[in-house]
Amino acid sequence: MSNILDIRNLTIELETSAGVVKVLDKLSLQLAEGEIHTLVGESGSGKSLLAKAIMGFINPRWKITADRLWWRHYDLLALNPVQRRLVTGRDMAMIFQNPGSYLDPNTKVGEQLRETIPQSELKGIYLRRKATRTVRAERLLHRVGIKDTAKVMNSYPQQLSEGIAQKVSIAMAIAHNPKLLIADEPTTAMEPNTRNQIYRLLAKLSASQGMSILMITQDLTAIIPETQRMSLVYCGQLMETGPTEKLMSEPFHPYTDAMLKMSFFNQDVAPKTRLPTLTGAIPTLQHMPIGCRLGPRCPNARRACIHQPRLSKVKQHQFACHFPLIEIVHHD
Amino acid sequence: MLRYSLRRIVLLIVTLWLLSLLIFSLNYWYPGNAVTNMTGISASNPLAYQEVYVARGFEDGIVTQYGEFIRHLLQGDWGLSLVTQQPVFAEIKPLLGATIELGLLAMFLAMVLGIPLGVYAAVQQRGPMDRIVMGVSLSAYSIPVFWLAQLFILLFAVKLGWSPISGQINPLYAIETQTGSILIDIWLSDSQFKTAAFYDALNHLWVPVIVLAMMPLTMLIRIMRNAVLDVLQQNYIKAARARGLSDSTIMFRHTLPNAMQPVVRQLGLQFSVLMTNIVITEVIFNWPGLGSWLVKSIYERDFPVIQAGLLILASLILLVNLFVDLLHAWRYPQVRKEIDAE
Amino acid sequence: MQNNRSIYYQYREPSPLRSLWLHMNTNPFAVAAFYIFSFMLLAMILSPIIAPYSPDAQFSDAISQPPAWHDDGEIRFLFGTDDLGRDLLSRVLSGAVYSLGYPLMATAAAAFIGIAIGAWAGMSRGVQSSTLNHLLDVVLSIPSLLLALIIIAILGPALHTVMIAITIVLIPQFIHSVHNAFYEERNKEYVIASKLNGSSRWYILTRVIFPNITSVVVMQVTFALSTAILDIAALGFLGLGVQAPAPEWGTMLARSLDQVYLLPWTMVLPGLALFLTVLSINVLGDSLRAAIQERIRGS
Repeated sequence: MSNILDIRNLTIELETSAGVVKVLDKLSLQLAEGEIHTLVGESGSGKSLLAKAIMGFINPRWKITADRLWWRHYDLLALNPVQRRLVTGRDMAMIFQNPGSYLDPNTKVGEQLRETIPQSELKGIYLRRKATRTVRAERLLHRVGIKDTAKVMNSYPQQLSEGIAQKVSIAMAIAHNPKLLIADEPTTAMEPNTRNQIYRLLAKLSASQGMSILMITQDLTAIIPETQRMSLVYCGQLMETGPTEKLMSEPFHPYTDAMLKMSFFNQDVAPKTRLPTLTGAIPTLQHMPIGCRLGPRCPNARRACIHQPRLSKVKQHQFACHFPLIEIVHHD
Repeated sequence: MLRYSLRRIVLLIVTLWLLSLLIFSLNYWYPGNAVTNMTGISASNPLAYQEVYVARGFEDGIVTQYGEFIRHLLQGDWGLSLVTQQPVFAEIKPLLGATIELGLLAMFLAMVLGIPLGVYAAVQQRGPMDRIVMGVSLSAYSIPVFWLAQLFILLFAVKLGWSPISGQINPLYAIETQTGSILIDIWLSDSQFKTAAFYDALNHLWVPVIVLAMMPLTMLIRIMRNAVLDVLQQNYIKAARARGLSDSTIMFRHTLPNAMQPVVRQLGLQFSVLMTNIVITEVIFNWPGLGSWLVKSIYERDFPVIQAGLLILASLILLVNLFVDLLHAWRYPQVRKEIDAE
Repeated sequence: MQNNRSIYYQYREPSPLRSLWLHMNTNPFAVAAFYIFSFMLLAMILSPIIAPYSPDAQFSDAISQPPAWHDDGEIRFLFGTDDLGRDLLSRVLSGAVYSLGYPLMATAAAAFIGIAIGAWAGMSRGVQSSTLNHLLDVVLSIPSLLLALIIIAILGPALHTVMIAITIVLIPQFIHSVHNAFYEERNKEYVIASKLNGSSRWYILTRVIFPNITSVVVMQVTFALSTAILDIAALGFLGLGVQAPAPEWGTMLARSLDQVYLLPWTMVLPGLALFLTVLSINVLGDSLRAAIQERIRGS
């Protein structure tokens, strides 16, 4: 399988009032063509930052370094901003949490959809192009499952419900057939029903167009069922990555294990027992532990954990831990 | 939109009614006789005085007096000036023309310069040009308008001799006053020196216009800059970039229309500021407008004139505010929703 | 164990007012404005001591003397004298009492009354609140200077009427901004939470909402102060405010208007004093606003 997105040891440093903080620490991620990849991380784990770094929404105050940040055969870090906008604008698209705030409040939805249709796909003189744009915009809305196109196109963004607004932003995102769609918590704070609609839509688009999706989500209970691979991030460090079933059934990393036990997949908890959770709380940006950042909360932590573990690889499955769960089982 | 407009117009009527109450009460608060203050006819002229005493309802209670006050107000019988004994209402039209001409030109200048400069400063944020534009505009904002006028007179009229010190036009041109707006009057007149008169009027006009434009100009630069910076931070601009729209599309289709929103909302306020400054500017440049007329009437304690000036200036401001609000709601539909929700 | 405080770096979130102060300190213009304003205040307070002459003392031997660096100038009159032979520096220093001290008093009085009414209006709802709103709309639609002119037309021009007029004119602005701020905060979740906890109205007013609108109040105070200074000076300039022999800056400027060809220096010093005072207040208010925005964005 060919990787279209290849990230090796991506580090992002932020300058805060308490000094320089590494928000992403040597994060690696590969994404194959047509694959749905879910990135799971709690708030503050830097997962949205990763998405922004890929898309190139870069704040000049961030310092970004990576051994590799490749999109197909482009080295994204080596491109100048204009070229980069060209590449990301053509090949990638992104949808967000709070879709409403990503639409211009003073322009009708139809107008915004129309201007998203790439110029290169239009032919003829001005009026003809304009008509084509409208037709294309309507077709896009049909594709994301909006039937009453006239009404939606004639609305202002704040008149749409969150679910519809998200569909509209998906329609805009797929306007120029991107190769990669980054979905940054697209369904957080939506009802399960709407959420499932969006998931189904995304899975369908991925299957029909061979579009890769990098899905970013906060917890394991709300992952898209079609996801092929998953990565878990904690405090900007990659904990584990692998094929979904493997990761769910045989986690190597204590963090993955804890996340699985914590979620309600695990129904066999005796009444009135304590739910299995990690102790402690997520550290603040100013107080990041050294080494493996899970260290202070990890049930298996030992002295060696003050050094950051390298990624170990077992087939398709990779993890970053000095004392993986499977090995412990083997040795006992 | 219709519902909002109706609401806003009803509100204006209520506000105007309150204004009329205020002005009516002022007649009783000013020193002297309420009848004289209202009509400009003093008790030393017993015959006429008795007549207006009856006409204004002073034989009955205060409610009748208010009714008569409103009736006379609407009929255009605003009393006589205590000083000149001329009907006040007739005097207003040319004065209003002169004031509006000065104010419109200043507002226009402020907008034409202020909006591009504000955008420019925002795009160059934290760059040297941004700092220069913002520094100059903050300093200019703090200059009291009367001092600025003096400095301009000292520089352009006294030292350089580029413009006359005060007045509207050289009286030798003998332009007949019709609308009060000097440029329109010249255009309407049948003087044989139209072009020369026109240049002379412009020569008189440009210094007061610049002085007057300074405050709204600096405000507009600052508001526009902040608005553009604010919009540039918004998610929808980032999303537009992510979709690969060109910079110019983002600027002209999304950033500017959204950034203009607070600017449009502020225009009403800027107009009030302008009206304050126009009073002072007209006095300094001896401009025959409402402001200098009002100040003169305060010196002379000419109460019918004071009332008329107050009424006209306040209604002008209210009307402009109504217009700005309607424009704002028409152009920015989400505002209507907020107002309806209240 | 003397060092035990410094073993661990403890990050503490500064209090809102302190974080404003810290932010202001990073802006050199704000610091400069702060020093200029303090200097003006100090000059005003010490003016009876540091002014070289009495503001009304006339030197018949030195009428219309240019500033000291001019060929005809004299060192005893550093910034020259006016057409009656009065020392300009002394007059400007003493004028600070009229042009800065009185606006400060008017602002303080207006703030006190306006905040009280605004808070009351902000907490009330229904007819009371909307009637007040419409009344305020009328009053605020009349520019403050115009309103002051009307009040002076009723009461006649004098120092105390100017003070009354300016105070009355400033009150609606305070009511308006405080009322709006209260109105915005009143329905926020933290206020509702406190209400559900059974806090009294008074507690909610003073302890829950008020700390969150301090920034609005501080900004309104700086705005009102610069309005008051400009309006008092403008009234003086129009001859409707503080009356002639008093060394009020606006009055001095009005007098210099007639002599601008002959004695241009008589308009420079009072104008400059006025300009610097207003500028420093505006810069302070502006950087306060920026600091508040920064804090809101940061949180």
